[in-house]
Amino acid sequence: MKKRTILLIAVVVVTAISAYVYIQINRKPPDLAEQKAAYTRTAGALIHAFETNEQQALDSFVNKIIEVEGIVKNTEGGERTEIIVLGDDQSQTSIRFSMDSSHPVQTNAVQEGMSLRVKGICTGYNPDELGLGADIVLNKSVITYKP
Amino acid sequence: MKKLLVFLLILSTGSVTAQERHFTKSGKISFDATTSTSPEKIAATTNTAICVLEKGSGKSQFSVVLKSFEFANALMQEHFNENYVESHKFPKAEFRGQILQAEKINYQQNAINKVTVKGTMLLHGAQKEIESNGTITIQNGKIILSSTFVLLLKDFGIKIPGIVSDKVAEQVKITLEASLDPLNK
Repeated sequence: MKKRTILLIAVVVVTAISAYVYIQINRKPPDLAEQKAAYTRTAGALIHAFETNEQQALDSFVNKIIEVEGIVKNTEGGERTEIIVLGDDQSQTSIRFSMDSSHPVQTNAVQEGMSLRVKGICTGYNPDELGLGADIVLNKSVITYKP
Repeated sequence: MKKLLVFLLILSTGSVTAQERHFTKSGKISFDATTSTSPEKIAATTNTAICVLEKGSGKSQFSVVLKSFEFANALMQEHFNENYVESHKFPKAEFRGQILQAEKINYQQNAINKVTVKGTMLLHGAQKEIESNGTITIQNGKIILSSTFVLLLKDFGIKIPGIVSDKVAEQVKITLEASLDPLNK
C-alpha cells in the first residue's frame, strides 16, 4: 500500500513537471490585445518621463505593457501598417510602435494627425545620438482605440 | 572677387552633397542561429533598427535595441535577453563602418550596386572588426541597403551552455534590409 502511494505520488510529480516543461517550451509571446496595460500614459507624459530622467523611465517602463494616447506623427509599412509613430509638437522625441502582425492594420487605416490609443511592450529608448530625434520603442503593439 | 565667390559656392555645394545623409528608423534585422540538429528554428526579427548612410563618404551606422527582437517562442526570447546578450546590461548592438569605394556609387541611376562594408560591430560589451558584402539598390531615388553576414558568438563573449550546444549555432547568420529616406535638415 505504501509502495503504491509513493509510486502514485512519483507519477503525479513527474507528470506535473513534464507538463510544466512542455508548456514553458511551447509558450508563445503574449498577445497584447488580451493583456492589461501596466501603465496608461499620454504621449506627452511618456516622452517627458524619458526626457527628464532616462534611467528612471527605463527602470519603470522597459518590459512593461504601456497604453499610450497621442497624435499620429507618421506611419510606415508596405501592404500593412508596420510602424505607428505617436508624439507631440513640443518635442523631437517620438514613440515608435512596432505593430503585431497577428493584428494587421491596413495601410491608410491610420492617418497622420489622428488621435489614437496604442498598447505595446516597451523595449527601450534610442537617445538622439545621430541627430534624428530620440525614440521610445514599443513592440507587439495593438491599437486599442481609434475614433 | 566674383570668381572667388563662385569657387566658394561650388565648394560649399560639393561639401553638402558629400555629407548628405539618408536614414531609417525601421530597418529590418533578422538572425538565425539554428543548427542542423536543432528541432526548432532559433531565429528572431526586429523592424526598429536605426540605419544612417552618409552618401558621399560612405560612412554607415546601424543601431538596434536588443529587446526589440521578436521570437516565435517566448522562452527563447527570454533566454536570448537574459542569458545570451544580457540586454539589461548591454541594451543595444551597433555597427559603425565605411562602404569601401563609396565614390563609385551613382545615386542618380537605378542600379543594384555590390558593395563591401568594413567597420566595428559592438555587441554584448565587446567590439570586433568585421567586413561584409551587401548591395545598395537605387530605385527611383530610394536607397535600399541589404546585407547578409555571419557573426561568431565567441567573438562577443557570448557563451552557449553545453546543454543546448547542439541546438544553438556558434555562427549566427544576420540579415539586414533598410530602405532609406533623405534626412531633411
